[in-house]
Amino acid sequence: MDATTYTRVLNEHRDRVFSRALYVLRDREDAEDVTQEAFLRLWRTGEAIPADRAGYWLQRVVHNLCIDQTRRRKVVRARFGQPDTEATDRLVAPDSGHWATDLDGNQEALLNAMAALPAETRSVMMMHYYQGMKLREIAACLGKTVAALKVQIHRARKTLRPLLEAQGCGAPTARSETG
Amino acid sequence: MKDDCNQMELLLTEFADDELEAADAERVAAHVAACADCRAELNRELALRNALGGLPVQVGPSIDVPAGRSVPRSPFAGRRRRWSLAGGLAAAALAAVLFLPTGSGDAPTTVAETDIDAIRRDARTSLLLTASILAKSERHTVVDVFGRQLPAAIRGAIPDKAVTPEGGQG
Repeated sequence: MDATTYTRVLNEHRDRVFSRALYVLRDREDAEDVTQEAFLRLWRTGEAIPADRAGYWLQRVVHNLCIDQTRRRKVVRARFGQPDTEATDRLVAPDSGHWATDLDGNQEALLNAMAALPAETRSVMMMHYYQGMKLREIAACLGKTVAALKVQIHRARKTLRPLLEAQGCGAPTARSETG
Repeated sequence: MKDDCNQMELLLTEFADDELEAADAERVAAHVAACADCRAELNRELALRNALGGLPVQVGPSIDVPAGRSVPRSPFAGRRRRWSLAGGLAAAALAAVLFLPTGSGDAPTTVAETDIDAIRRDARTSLLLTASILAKSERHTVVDVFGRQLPAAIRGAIPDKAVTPEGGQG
């Protein structure tokens, strides 16, 4: 991959890669690290990756990096005993209790509820719902089966349901059922 | 009926994606039309899709584009500089703590024992301060520095309360 192609891929994917990492990790610095590391790896191994596959390749790398980052965070927390408040609050505007991004109420509640899911599941959810990837595309990207992904997302939905209802966000269901 | 619902719920994601074979799609559509629970689940699926699909795109960090085929300058270069400075401070403090003679007999005659103790205390304070800075500035890499590169004997010299101010597991 030459510099021109790399630049094109970088411009095409950088913000989406960063956003996905941000919503999965809930930490701007961690998301920046993951984004930079992903593109650094893309350049280092770029010769072996056809440009038209770079997007998929990045998805897989970001998925793995997000999981690694979450594990690392847990290890630090375990070794140093620091509650991870900075990591979970860094997206939340000071004194407001709300995310420092332009989110509507449902999105904010949903992202907060998703914190209860494992990072791996959050990442899969973001690939599917945020980035619009089909299950078979995610399966091919991550080396999983479609059936396994269906079960994983199904379980995630079930986990999220009571959390969203507890936050008063059963609204999507009510809206759809009445509508 | 419940078994049927469980099967259907697993198909809803693909149904919403319009990825099912025609026969399966018709089966799911017919079931959803007749089953309030599955209809609610489908609505939740669609709501999830709308909420997450509509999340704003955030502007990512700037990343250097390499000029040639060589390995690009690391985007972490700035952080590494910061680490090298902090690491140097930590190393200096460690050296002071470790290699200053003890006050029990083999101290140089030109330095009073009280001075040595004071220096040792200062060095220890510097080390703890550096550790604190590192822990706050680059938490995810602190484990690499303090966990893998610092000998256990030195690690043991750092009071828990300094590294784990919240009094956690340590």
